[in-house]
Amino acid sequence: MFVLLPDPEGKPAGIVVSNRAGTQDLNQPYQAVRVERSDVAPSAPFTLGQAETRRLFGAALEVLPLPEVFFTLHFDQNTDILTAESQAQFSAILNAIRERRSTAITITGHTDTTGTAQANYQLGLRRAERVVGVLTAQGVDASKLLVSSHGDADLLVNTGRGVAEARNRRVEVIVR
Amino acid sequence: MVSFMGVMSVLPVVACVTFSAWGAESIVGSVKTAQGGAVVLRGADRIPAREGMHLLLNDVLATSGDGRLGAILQDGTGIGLGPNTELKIDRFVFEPADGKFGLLLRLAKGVLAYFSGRIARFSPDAVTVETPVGVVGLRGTHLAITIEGT
Repeated sequence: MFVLLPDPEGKPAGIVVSNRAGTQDLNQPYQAVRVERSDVAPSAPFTLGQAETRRLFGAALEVLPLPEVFFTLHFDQNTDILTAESQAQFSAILNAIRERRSTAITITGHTDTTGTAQANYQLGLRRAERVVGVLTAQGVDASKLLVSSHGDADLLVNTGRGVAEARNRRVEVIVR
Repeated sequence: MVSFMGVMSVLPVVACVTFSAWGAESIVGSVKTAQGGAVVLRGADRIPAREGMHLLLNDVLATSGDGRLGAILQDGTGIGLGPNTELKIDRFVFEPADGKFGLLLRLAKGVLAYFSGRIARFSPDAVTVETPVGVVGLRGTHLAITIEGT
């Protein structure tokens, strides 16, 4: 049995259940279909009660993880110096890491388009390493941090070359 | 009480090795909860699942009658396995810089709860869950599947 569950943010969602005998679209929360065999088409959609959903799926639903959480830290131009607003975000980052007992935290450095691509790769890496330094000083195990630089190849705000854009000077931290 | 006959014909998925954009090690996710009999089958190895352990492409997550397992993939996809469940991470491609996305989970038996991550947000058609009785295509979604009679 396949059941579509409500999106926590209320966004429209849907699934398509198909096999070689047929296809059914589900687009309402708690809509379900039964599929007996791979060569028998999915049943017509029906509504599965919430109690029945819990009975059938509760064990799996209860071990779903917390969603990942994103942080964006900003830097002064052409430096690895964090802005004051960004320094203030570390307590929230550390809380998220502790709450999730995270073991695979990605830290990705980015730059704006001033300077060469090669220099920006290095600058992005220094920015990422700066964030690593703050986190490890607070007790986060460095082996849990997956660190990289995208330099100026992954702009948040699209600009031409040679444009100083504060929003592109960033490190993205994803805690999961 | 349903018994299914054979296995759903396999989608023509091209074999694809994924290298993590952020390191040499191709971590595709990590275990967040492991209860009771919960193991990761990796090649010939049978590794007891434990909280925090990293998951790799082609890992099979398996639980016994008293087992449950929760995991998160590197794109934020959430996975919950009930008892007597077997799920393979068959394909995981998450390369936003190159616009490449793909996720194929293969549920052989048991109960799966799922919420989508960024692969589904970037590329709604890139996520598929295969089961013995049919294939699910997903769009930014929470869902649950049980394979009965297994």
